[in-house]
Amino acid sequence: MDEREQKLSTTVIGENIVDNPDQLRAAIVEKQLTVYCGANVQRLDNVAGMTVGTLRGRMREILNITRDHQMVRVNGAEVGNDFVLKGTEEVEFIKPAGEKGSALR
Amino acid sequence: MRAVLIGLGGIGSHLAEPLCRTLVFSKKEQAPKRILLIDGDTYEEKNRERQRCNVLVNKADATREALGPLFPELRLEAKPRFVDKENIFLFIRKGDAVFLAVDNHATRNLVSSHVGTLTDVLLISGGNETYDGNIQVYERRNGKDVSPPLSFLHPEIESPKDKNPADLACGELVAQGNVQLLTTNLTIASLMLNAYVRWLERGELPYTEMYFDLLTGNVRPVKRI
Repeated sequence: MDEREQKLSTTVIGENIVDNPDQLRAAIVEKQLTVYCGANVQRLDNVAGMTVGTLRGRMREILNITRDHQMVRVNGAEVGNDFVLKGTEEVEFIKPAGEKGSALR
Repeated sequence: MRAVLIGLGGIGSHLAEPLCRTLVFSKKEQAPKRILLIDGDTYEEKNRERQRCNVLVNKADATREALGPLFPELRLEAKPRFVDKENIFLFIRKGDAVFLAVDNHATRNLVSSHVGTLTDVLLISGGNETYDGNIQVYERRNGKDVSPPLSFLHPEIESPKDKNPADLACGELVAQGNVQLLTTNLTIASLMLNAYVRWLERGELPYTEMYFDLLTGNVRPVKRI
């Protein structure tokens, strides 16, 4: 890095600033855990070492995860509640298909 | 080639007319001009809050009576029955575009399994809870799955705990579900039709499932592999 770059650089997550905001956003997202449930998504920092079961409890209210959400995938692979997260994965609590109630006959 | 609409309640009753309109005015060869309307249920007074119904008769018959005069270009057939394992081979055949708007996983499982035995079928299934829901697209082409069946990643469909209404004993009650909202039903109907229109235009879809949540305003398409 030359002197000009050093003067202009700002450390962000331990790296130099990225000119392109999309690249910056992507750089930040890469360091985060992304959790999906249905239409909704949350990104979390500092969850390395957390199990899927703990994550489930933490996100229950925020992402409306219920007991019916039994299937969980991490980076596309099905895992159990005791799976330990690295903190940068994509986790999806698979939302069951909508089942509208039937009227009493 | 036929379009088959199974379920004419909260979702199906809002899907029927725009589906007819789409098929009449589509310039695509694959757009069928024959529609089967299938439902064994009868409209009740309490359905008026969410469902398009003018008379309290069988839903399939009522829908045909209402839409027939509006769309003389289409051949609309009403089947006042619930789909079951005895009649499904008549109701869903090779080449059909099936719109599944039922309220139980048992029928979803039955239909998805049957579609898996056919060579070319497009199945679009929709369902919702009070404020959210999803659609799923299952396509078969030349005897192969182009997208996964409805039961893929959905154990509630693979091993349903509920019953097909056709299998209920006389007088047996269906469990009352969550509160239903008109806006949620409309959203599902719209997403189902949108998926079909995109498929007609392009021959494929960039997603196999789509979730929405009216409370957060989010919609998320997913391509399941």
